[in-house]
Amino acid sequence: MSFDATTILAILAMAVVTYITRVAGLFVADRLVLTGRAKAAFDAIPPLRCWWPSSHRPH
Amino acid sequence: MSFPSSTFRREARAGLHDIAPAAIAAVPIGLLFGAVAVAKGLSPAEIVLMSALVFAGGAQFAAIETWVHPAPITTLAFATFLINARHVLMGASLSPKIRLSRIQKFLCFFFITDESWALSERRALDRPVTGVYWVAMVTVLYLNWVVSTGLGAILGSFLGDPARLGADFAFTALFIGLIAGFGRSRVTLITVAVSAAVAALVHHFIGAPWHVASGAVAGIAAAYLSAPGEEARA
Repeated sequence: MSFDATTILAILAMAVVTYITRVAGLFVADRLVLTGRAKAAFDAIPPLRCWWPSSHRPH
Repeated sequence: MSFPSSTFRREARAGLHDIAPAAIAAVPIGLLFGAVAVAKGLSPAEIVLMSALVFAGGAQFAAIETWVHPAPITTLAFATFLINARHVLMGASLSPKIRLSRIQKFLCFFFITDESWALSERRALDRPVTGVYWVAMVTVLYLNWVVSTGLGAILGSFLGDPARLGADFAFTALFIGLIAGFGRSRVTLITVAVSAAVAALVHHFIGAPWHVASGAVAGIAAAYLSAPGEEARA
């Protein structure tokens, strides 16, 4: 098992940022109403469903 | 979260049943991710750690695609934020539909993925999403991802550079396929065109990894500017 300190820090940074995005929805659940341009901008954020075969994608 | 055992079993079985196709589909992607990550210089232990702590396939792909040594921490964190910003909306949408306490949500939302979110949204159309259903789904998906990426890392160490087999192009193909499924609206086409053009220019003149974040920001700005405003909708 080998670890590089900078790599570990990068992984931790990615993990923290990802977790923040995941729980942030709890805080905005009652407050966020997206419409118009703001909705379009949010929709443009890449929805990376890269594991999902189209035949099994839920509707 | 307290259930009669029959309800518990039924919910667990439903979660396992629903997530099975996605889990199976994730195996080759995980193997490939591990193999390419090893080729980029990460150790198998680091790859498993990344999958275990980040657990976000898209962000991990983007990170590995642009990975250099020493790792550009700020750039990777920023790119991760841009790619995973969609989780904010997913969490906001899912929060009122899932039967969990506030604390349980803080724990369980670590496992939000496109798949678990989409399946939960679908289930919420006709019944509440229980904690058992959620845990059954995400446990399979999580273990599946960590194990398959780890296996890919170990196998990749023996196979050598995936580029020799052309396997490194799988990432690019994956994203092209993803973009092709976005639709054909004017806003989408402008967004994709601007994002691609900016990413290509930045990659040519500045180099990796900046093209990822630049393309994403340009695409978001293009979508904002090209979408009709509220006054146009009225």
